Amino acid sequence: MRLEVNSIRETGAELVIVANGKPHHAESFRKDLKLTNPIFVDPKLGTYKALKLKHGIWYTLRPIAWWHAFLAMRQGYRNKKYTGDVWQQGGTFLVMPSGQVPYHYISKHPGDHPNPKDFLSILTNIFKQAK
Amino acid sequence: MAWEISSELANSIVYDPEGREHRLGDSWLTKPALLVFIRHFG
Repeated sequence: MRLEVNSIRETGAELVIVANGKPHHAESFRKDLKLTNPIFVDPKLGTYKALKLKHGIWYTLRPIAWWHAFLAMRQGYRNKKYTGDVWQQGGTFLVMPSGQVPYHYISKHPGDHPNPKDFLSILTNIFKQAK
Repeated sequence: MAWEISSELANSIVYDPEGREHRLGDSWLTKPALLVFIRHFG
């Protein structure tokens, strides 16, 4: 994620992380990853619901989620702990000052992440057009 | 078709690591923001 912070900031945008958990969880996360971008938590998941992000046991435990967990473990990733609602899935939204969202990605299961090249190319084009 | 952020979402209150309240919509007031909603910390 640290690499993405730099890549996103180089385009002129900011990375904002919103998480499912409590403020003290965010503090540990920020320290562990040495992040300098804004990090917020939404313990009641109101923002997740407003964006209709996936939620439920099926999205978390479906077979493809186990496959992604296996691949992640093979690459050395381990979940140290879970915070908040474990059935909640994530998503990524590029939001312009006008409120328009030229890019979004809604994760369907754990390990389902957007390709950073997709949003970085959109961001690069947006700032090129603005010059 | 591009989405547009609802006022409900923009006015949502989120909390920073120190527990202070923030209006989420302030995140993209002056420049584009890539909002990443993560499943969990860890």
